[in-house]
Amino acid sequence: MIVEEAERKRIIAARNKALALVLLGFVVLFFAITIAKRSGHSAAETKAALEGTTAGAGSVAH
Amino acid sequence: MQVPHLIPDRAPADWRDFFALTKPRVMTLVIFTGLCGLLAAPGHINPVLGFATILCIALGAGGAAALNQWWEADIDAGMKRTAKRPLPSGKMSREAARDFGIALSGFSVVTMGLAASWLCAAILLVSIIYYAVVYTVWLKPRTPQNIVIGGGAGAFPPVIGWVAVTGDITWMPVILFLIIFMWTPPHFWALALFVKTDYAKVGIPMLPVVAGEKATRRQIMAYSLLLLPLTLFPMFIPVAQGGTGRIYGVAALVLSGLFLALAVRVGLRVRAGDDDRMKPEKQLFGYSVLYLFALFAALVVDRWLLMAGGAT
Repeated sequence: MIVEEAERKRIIAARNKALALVLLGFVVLFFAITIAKRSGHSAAETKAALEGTTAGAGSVAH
Repeated sequence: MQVPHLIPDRAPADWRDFFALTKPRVMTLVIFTGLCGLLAAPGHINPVLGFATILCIALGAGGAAALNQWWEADIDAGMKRTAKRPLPSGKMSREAARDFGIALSGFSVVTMGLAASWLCAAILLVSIIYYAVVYTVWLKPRTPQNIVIGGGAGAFPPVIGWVAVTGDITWMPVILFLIIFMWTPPHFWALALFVKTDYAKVGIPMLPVVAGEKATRRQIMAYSLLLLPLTLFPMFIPVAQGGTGRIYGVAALVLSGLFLALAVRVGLRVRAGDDDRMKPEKQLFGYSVLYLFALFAALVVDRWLLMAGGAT
Protein backbone atom coordinates (compact mmCIF):
# COMPACT_ATOMS: atom_id res chain seq x y z
CA MET A 1 0.00 0.00 0.00
CA ILE A 2 1.40 3.39 -0.99
CA VAL A 3 0.92 6.17 1.53
CA GLU A 4 1.33 9.85 0.83
CA GLU A 5 3.81 11.49 3.15
CA ALA A 6 1.36 14.25 4.01
CA GLU A 7 -1.15 11.67 5.21
CA ARG A 8 1.55 9.85 7.13
CA LYS A 9 2.60 13.07 8.87
CA ARG A 10 -1.01 13.92 9.72
CA ILE A 11 -1.59 10.54 11.36
CA ILE A 12 1.65 10.72 13.35
CA ALA A 13 0.92 14.29 14.47
CA ALA A 14 -2.56 13.28 15.67
CA ARG A 15 -1.10 10.29 17.49
CA ASN A 16 1.54 12.45 19.17
CA LYS A 17 -1.10 14.92 20.31
CA ALA A 18 -3.19 12.08 21.76
CA LEU A 19 -0.13 10.68 23.54
CA ALA A 20 0.76 14.10 24.95
CA LEU A 21 -2.78 14.47 26.31
CA VAL A 22 -2.66 11.01 27.86
CA LEU A 23 0.71 11.75 29.51
CA LEU A 24 -0.57 15.08 30.81
CA GLY A 25 -3.62 13.27 32.18
CA PHE A 26 -1.39 10.81 34.01
CA VAL A 27 0.70 13.61 35.52
CA VAL A 28 -2.50 15.20 36.85
CA LEU A 29 -3.75 11.80 38.04
CA PHE A 30 -0.56 11.00 39.96
CA PHE A 31 -0.56 14.47 41.51
CA ALA A 32 -4.18 13.98 42.60
CA ILE A 33 -3.46 10.47 43.93
CA THR A 34 -0.58 11.81 46.02
CA ILE A 35 -2.76 14.55 47.52
CA ALA A 36 -5.62 12.10 48.14
CA LYS A 37 -3.32 9.58 49.82
CA ARG A 38 -2.11 12.22 52.22
CA SER A 39 -5.67 13.18 53.13
CA GLY A 40 -6.71 9.59 54.00
CA HIS A 41 -9.91 7.68 53.16
CA SER A 42 -8.01 4.67 51.90
CA ALA A 43 -9.03 1.02 52.13
CA ALA A 44 -6.65 0.54 55.06
CA GLU A 45 -8.49 3.26 57.00
CA THR A 46 -11.89 1.80 56.19
CA LYS A 47 -10.76 -1.65 57.26
CA ALA A 48 -9.38 -0.27 60.50
CA ALA A 49 -12.61 1.65 61.13
CA LEU A 50 -14.73 -1.46 60.52
CA GLU A 51 -12.54 -3.42 62.92
CA GLY A 52 -12.75 -0.63 65.46
CA THR A 53 -9.03 0.07 65.53
CA THR A 54 -6.90 2.94 64.31
CA ALA A 55 -4.02 0.79 63.13
CA GLY A 56 -4.58 1.51 59.45
CA ALA A 57 -5.02 5.25 59.78
CA GLY A 58 -1.44 6.03 60.61
CA SER A 59 -0.06 4.04 57.74
CA VAL A 60 -1.52 6.35 55.10
CA ALA A 61 -0.41 9.52 56.80
CA HIS A 62 3.24 8.93 56.00
CA MET B 1 4.55 21.27 -10.13
CA GLN B 2 5.15 19.65 -6.80
CA VAL B 3 5.15 15.87 -6.91
CA PRO B 4 4.02 14.22 -3.64
CA HIS B 5 6.68 12.08 -2.03
CA LEU B 6 5.49 8.49 -1.86
CA ILE B 7 6.64 5.91 0.66
CA PRO B 8 6.02 2.21 -0.04
CA ASP B 9 4.63 1.44 3.37
CA ARG B 10 1.27 1.10 5.11
CA ALA B 11 -0.18 4.10 6.95
CA PRO B 12 0.95 4.25 10.59
CA ALA B 13 -1.64 3.19 13.14
CA ASP B 14 -3.97 5.98 14.16
CA TRP B 15 -4.79 6.63 17.85
CA ARG B 16 -8.28 5.34 17.10
CA ASP B 17 -6.79 1.97 16.16
CA PHE B 18 -5.08 1.76 19.55
CA PHE B 19 -8.36 2.69 21.21
CA ALA B 20 -10.20 -0.01 19.23
CA LEU B 21 -7.59 -2.51 20.40
CA THR B 22 -8.85 -2.11 23.96
CA LYS B 23 -12.35 -3.47 23.00
CA PRO B 24 -14.17 -0.39 24.34
CA ARG B 25 -17.62 -2.01 24.23
CA VAL B 26 -16.56 -4.92 26.42
CA MET B 27 -14.77 -2.44 28.66
CA THR B 28 -18.05 -0.61 29.35
CA LEU B 29 -19.41 -3.63 31.24
CA VAL B 30 -16.10 -4.14 33.04
CA ILE B 31 -16.03 -0.49 34.18
CA PHE B 32 -19.66 -0.58 35.24
CA THR B 33 -19.40 -3.74 37.35
CA GLY B 34 -16.14 -2.47 38.89
CA LEU B 35 -17.80 0.84 39.72
CA CYS B 36 -20.81 -0.93 41.24
CA GLY B 37 -18.51 -3.04 43.42
CA LEU B 38 -16.85 0.14 44.61
CA LEU B 39 -20.11 2.02 45.23
CA ALA B 40 -21.88 -0.85 46.99
CA ALA B 41 -19.05 -1.71 49.37
CA PRO B 42 -19.43 -0.70 53.02
CA GLY B 43 -17.07 2.16 53.80
CA HIS B 44 -15.66 5.25 52.16
CA ILE B 45 -13.01 5.91 49.60
CA ASN B 46 -11.56 9.21 48.51
CA PRO B 47 -13.23 10.05 45.15
CA VAL B 48 -9.85 10.56 43.48
CA LEU B 49 -8.64 7.14 44.63
CA GLY B 50 -11.98 5.66 43.57
CA PHE B 51 -11.63 7.23 40.13
CA ALA B 52 -8.04 5.98 39.85
CA THR B 53 -9.19 2.46 40.80
CA ILE B 54 -11.84 2.40 38.07
CA LEU B 55 -9.41 3.89 35.56
CA CYS B 56 -6.89 1.16 36.38
CA ILE B 57 -9.55 -1.54 35.96
CA ALA B 58 -10.35 -0.05 32.53
CA LEU B 59 -6.68 0.19 31.52
CA GLY B 60 -5.99 -3.34 32.72
CA ALA B 61 -8.97 -4.66 30.75
CA GLY B 62 -7.78 -2.69 27.71
CA GLY B 63 -4.26 -4.08 28.03
CA ALA B 64 -5.55 -7.65 28.31
CA ALA B 65 -7.81 -7.08 25.27
CA ALA B 66 -4.83 -5.78 23.25
CA LEU B 67 -2.77 -8.85 24.19
CA ASN B 68 -5.72 -11.08 23.28
CA GLN B 69 -5.91 -9.49 19.81
CA TRP B 70 -2.14 -9.68 19.36
CA TRP B 71 -2.25 -13.44 20.01
CA GLU B 72 -5.40 -14.07 17.96
CA ALA B 73 -4.71 -11.85 14.94
CA ASP B 74 -4.76 -14.81 12.54
CA ILE B 75 -7.96 -16.23 14.03
CA ASP B 76 -9.65 -12.81 13.94
CA ALA B 77 -8.75 -12.45 10.25
CA GLY B 78 -10.75 -15.58 9.47
CA MET B 79 -13.92 -14.51 11.24
CA LYS B 80 -16.48 -12.11 9.78
CA ARG B 81 -17.25 -10.60 13.21
CA THR B 82 -13.60 -9.71 13.95
CA ALA B 83 -12.00 -9.28 10.52
CA LYS B 84 -12.22 -5.49 10.69
CA ARG B 85 -10.23 -5.19 13.92
CA PRO B 86 -6.98 -3.16 13.65
CA LEU B 87 -4.63 -6.17 13.37
CA PRO B 88 -6.42 -8.40 10.86
CA SER B 89 -7.30 -5.38 8.72
CA GLY B 90 -3.59 -4.46 8.53
CA LYS B 91 -3.89 -1.07 10.21
CA MET B 92 -1.32 -1.94 12.86
CA SER B 93 1.71 -4.17 13.29
CA ARG B 94 1.50 -7.10 15.70
CA GLU B 95 4.51 -5.80 17.63
CA ALA B 96 2.82 -2.45 18.23
CA ALA B 97 -0.26 -4.22 19.60
CA ARG B 98 1.83 -6.46 21.85
CA ASP B 99 3.89 -3.58 23.23
CA PHE B 100 0.78 -1.48 23.77
CA GLY B 101 -0.89 -4.35 25.66
CA ILE B 102 2.12 -4.99 27.89
CA ALA B 103 2.61 -1.27 28.63
CA LEU B 104 -1.06 -0.72 29.45
CA SER B 105 -1.25 -3.82 31.66
CA GLY B 106 1.97 -3.00 33.54
CA PHE B 107 1.00 0.63 34.04
CA SER B 108 -2.49 -0.26 35.30
CA VAL B 109 -1.19 -2.76 37.87
CA VAL B 110 1.48 -0.42 39.28
CA THR B 111 -0.89 2.56 39.41
CA MET B 112 -3.55 0.40 41.08
CA GLY B 113 -1.01 -0.59 43.73
CA LEU B 114 -0.10 3.03 44.39
CA ALA B 115 -3.64 4.42 44.30
CA ALA B 116 -5.79 1.70 45.90
CA SER B 117 -3.82 -1.15 47.45
CA TRP B 118 -1.38 -3.86 46.45
CA LEU B 119 -4.10 -6.45 47.08
CA CYS B 120 -6.19 -4.73 44.38
CA ALA B 121 -3.12 -4.62 42.12
CA ALA B 122 -2.56 -8.35 42.66
CA ILE B 123 -6.18 -9.16 41.78
CA LEU B 124 -5.92 -6.96 38.67
CA LEU B 125 -2.71 -8.72 37.63
CA VAL B 126 -4.34 -12.13 38.12
CA SER B 127 -7.33 -11.04 36.00
CA ILE B 128 -5.06 -9.81 33.18
CA ILE B 129 -3.02 -13.04 33.17
CA TYR B 130 -6.23 -15.06 33.46
CA TYR B 131 -7.67 -13.44 30.31
CA ALA B 132 -4.53 -12.94 28.19
CA VAL B 133 -2.77 -16.22 29.01
CA VAL B 134 -5.05 -18.78 30.71
CA TYR B 135 -8.09 -18.07 28.51
CA THR B 136 -6.63 -16.77 25.24
CA VAL B 137 -3.52 -18.89 24.89
CA TRP B 138 -4.38 -22.03 26.79
CA LEU B 139 -8.13 -22.67 27.14
CA LYS B 140 -9.74 -21.11 24.08
CA PRO B 141 -8.04 -23.22 21.39
CA ARG B 142 -8.16 -26.43 23.48
CA THR B 143 -11.48 -27.04 25.18
CA PRO B 144 -15.18 -26.36 24.53
CA GLN B 145 -15.44 -25.46 28.22
CA ASN B 146 -13.09 -22.49 27.53
CA ILE B 147 -15.66 -19.84 28.33
CA VAL B 148 -16.77 -21.53 31.58
CA ILE B 149 -13.32 -21.34 33.14
CA GLY B 150 -12.14 -18.31 31.18
CA GLY B 151 -15.25 -16.39 32.13
CA GLY B 152 -13.66 -15.84 35.52
CA ALA B 153 -11.45 -13.15 33.96
CA GLY B 154 -14.40 -10.82 33.51
CA ALA B 155 -15.66 -11.49 37.03
CA PHE B 156 -12.81 -9.76 38.85
CA PRO B 157 -13.74 -6.03 38.40
CA PRO B 158 -16.45 -5.85 41.14
CA VAL B 159 -14.07 -7.68 43.48
CA ILE B 160 -11.37 -5.08 42.82
CA GLY B 161 -13.84 -2.22 43.30
CA TRP B 162 -15.06 -3.73 46.57
CA VAL B 163 -11.58 -4.47 47.93
CA ALA B 164 -10.43 -0.92 47.06
CA VAL B 165 -12.96 0.35 49.62
CA THR B 166 -12.86 -2.33 52.32
CA GLY B 167 -9.32 -3.66 51.98
CA ASP B 168 -10.64 -7.19 52.46
CA ILE B 169 -12.03 -10.07 50.40
CA THR B 170 -15.26 -11.05 52.17
CA TRP B 171 -18.31 -13.10 51.12
CA MET B 172 -20.01 -10.30 49.19
CA PRO B 173 -17.28 -9.73 46.56
CA VAL B 174 -16.97 -13.51 46.19
CA ILE B 175 -20.72 -13.71 45.45
CA LEU B 176 -20.43 -10.86 42.92
CA PHE B 177 -17.57 -12.78 41.28
CA LEU B 178 -19.68 -15.95 41.14
CA ILE B 179 -22.67 -14.10 39.64
CA ILE B 180 -20.58 -12.89 36.67
CA PHE B 181 -18.84 -16.26 36.48
CA MET B 182 -22.18 -18.05 36.18
CA TRP B 183 -23.64 -15.40 33.85
CA THR B 184 -20.81 -15.64 31.30
CA PRO B 185 -21.51 -19.10 29.77
CA PRO B 186 -25.18 -18.49 28.84
CA HIS B 187 -24.29 -14.96 27.68
CA PHE B 188 -21.46 -16.14 25.45
CA TRP B 189 -23.05 -19.37 24.21
CA ALA B 190 -26.12 -17.44 23.06
CA LEU B 191 -23.72 -15.45 20.86
CA ALA B 192 -21.79 -18.58 19.85
CA LEU B 193 -25.02 -20.19 18.63
CA PHE B 194 -25.55 -17.54 15.99
CA VAL B 195 -21.87 -17.11 14.99
CA LYS B 196 -21.16 -20.86 15.10
CA THR B 197 -19.99 -21.08 11.50
CA ASP B 198 -17.37 -18.37 12.15
CA TYR B 199 -15.83 -20.34 15.02
CA ALA B 200 -15.95 -23.59 13.07
CA LYS B 201 -14.14 -21.95 10.15
CA VAL B 202 -11.13 -20.96 12.27
CA GLY B 203 -11.05 -24.17 14.31
CA ILE B 204 -11.96 -22.74 17.72
CA PRO B 205 -13.67 -25.52 19.71
CA MET B 206 -16.62 -23.51 20.98
CA LEU B 207 -19.32 -25.67 22.58
CA PRO B 208 -21.84 -25.43 19.68
CA VAL B 209 -19.09 -26.47 17.24
CA VAL B 210 -17.81 -29.44 19.26
CA ALA B 211 -20.79 -30.70 21.28
CA GLY B 212 -23.53 -29.48 18.97
CA GLU B 213 -26.42 -27.10 19.36
CA LYS B 214 -28.59 -29.37 21.50
CA ALA B 215 -25.93 -29.77 24.20
CA THR B 216 -25.20 -26.03 24.14
CA ARG B 217 -28.87 -25.18 24.56
CA ARG B 218 -29.14 -27.57 27.51
CA GLN B 219 -26.11 -26.01 29.18
CA ILE B 220 -27.47 -22.48 28.65
CA MET B 221 -30.56 -23.57 30.59
CA ALA B 222 -28.50 -25.25 33.33
CA TYR B 223 -26.28 -22.22 33.99
CA SER B 224 -29.26 -19.85 33.93
CA LEU B 225 -31.01 -22.07 36.47
CA LEU B 226 -27.97 -21.90 38.77
CA LEU B 227 -27.67 -18.16 38.26
CA LEU B 228 -31.12 -17.36 39.66
CA PRO B 229 -30.61 -18.55 43.29
CA LEU B 230 -27.04 -17.27 43.25
CA THR B 231 -28.22 -13.71 42.59
CA LEU B 232 -30.38 -13.91 45.73
CA PHE B 233 -27.44 -14.75 48.02
CA PRO B 234 -26.56 -11.08 48.76
CA MET B 235 -29.84 -10.85 50.71
CA PHE B 236 -28.51 -13.35 53.25
CA ILE B 237 -25.32 -11.38 53.98
CA PRO B 238 -25.51 -9.00 56.99
CA VAL B 239 -26.03 -5.41 55.84
CA ALA B 240 -22.96 -4.24 57.78
CA GLN B 241 -20.87 -6.62 55.68
CA GLY B 242 -22.32 -5.35 52.41
CA GLY B 243 -25.49 -7.45 52.23
CA THR B 244 -28.60 -6.17 50.48
CA GLY B 245 -32.28 -5.64 51.24
CA ARG B 246 -35.62 -6.32 49.60
CA ILE B 247 -35.28 -3.87 46.70
CA TYR B 248 -32.31 -5.77 45.33
CA GLY B 249 -34.03 -9.08 46.12
CA VAL B 250 -37.13 -8.21 44.08
CA ALA B 251 -35.02 -6.83 41.22
CA ALA B 252 -32.80 -9.93 41.20
CA LEU B 253 -35.81 -12.25 41.22
CA VAL B 254 -37.57 -10.44 38.37
CA LEU B 255 -34.44 -9.92 36.24
CA SER B 256 -33.13 -13.46 36.77
CA GLY B 257 -36.60 -14.92 36.25
CA LEU B 258 -36.82 -13.25 32.85
CA PHE B 259 -33.27 -14.38 32.07
CA LEU B 260 -34.25 -17.96 32.88
CA ALA B 261 -37.44 -17.69 30.80
CA LEU B 262 -35.47 -16.51 27.75
CA ALA B 263 -32.84 -19.21 28.38
CA VAL B 264 -35.51 -21.93 28.59
CA ARG B 265 -36.99 -20.70 25.32
CA VAL B 266 -33.55 -21.01 23.70
CA GLY B 267 -32.88 -24.30 25.51
CA LEU B 268 -35.98 -26.08 24.29
CA ARG B 269 -35.81 -24.73 20.77
CA VAL B 270 -34.75 -26.56 17.64
CA ARG B 271 -33.27 -24.55 14.79
CA ALA B 272 -35.76 -24.31 11.88
CA GLY B 273 -33.06 -24.75 9.24
CA ASP B 274 -30.00 -23.03 7.81
CA ASP B 275 -31.98 -19.86 7.11
CA ASP B 276 -33.21 -19.63 10.74
CA ARG B 277 -32.60 -16.06 11.91
CA MET B 278 -31.95 -17.19 15.50
CA LYS B 279 -34.12 -14.45 16.99
CA PRO B 280 -34.55 -16.02 20.48
CA GLU B 281 -30.75 -16.53 20.75
CA LYS B 282 -30.12 -12.92 19.74
CA GLN B 283 -32.74 -11.76 22.23
CA LEU B 284 -31.12 -13.76 25.03
CA PHE B 285 -27.70 -12.32 24.17
CA GLY B 286 -29.03 -8.75 24.07
CA TYR B 287 -30.97 -9.20 27.30
CA SER B 288 -27.99 -10.78 29.07
CA VAL B 289 -26.01 -7.54 28.65
CA LEU B 290 -28.91 -5.44 29.90
CA TYR B 291 -29.44 -7.94 32.74
CA LEU B 292 -25.97 -7.52 34.20
CA PHE B 293 -26.19 -3.73 34.03
CA ALA B 294 -29.61 -3.73 35.72
CA LEU B 295 -28.67 -6.28 38.40
CA PHE B 296 -25.57 -4.37 39.49
CA ALA B 297 -27.43 -1.05 39.34
CA ALA B 298 -30.10 -2.53 41.63
CA LEU B 299 -27.36 -3.65 44.02
CA VAL B 300 -25.98 -0.12 44.28
CA VAL B 301 -29.39 1.52 44.66
CA ASP B 302 -30.37 -0.95 47.38
CA ARG B 303 -27.11 -0.46 49.27
CA TRP B 304 -27.39 3.31 49.08
CA LEU B 305 -30.96 3.26 50.36
CA LEU B 306 -29.94 0.98 53.22
CA MET B 307 -27.06 3.25 54.12
CA ALA B 308 -29.22 6.36 53.84
CA GLY B 309 -31.70 4.67 56.19
CA GLY B 310 -28.91 4.13 58.70
CA ALA B 311 -29.05 0.36 58.47
CA THR B 312 -25.27 0.14 58.39
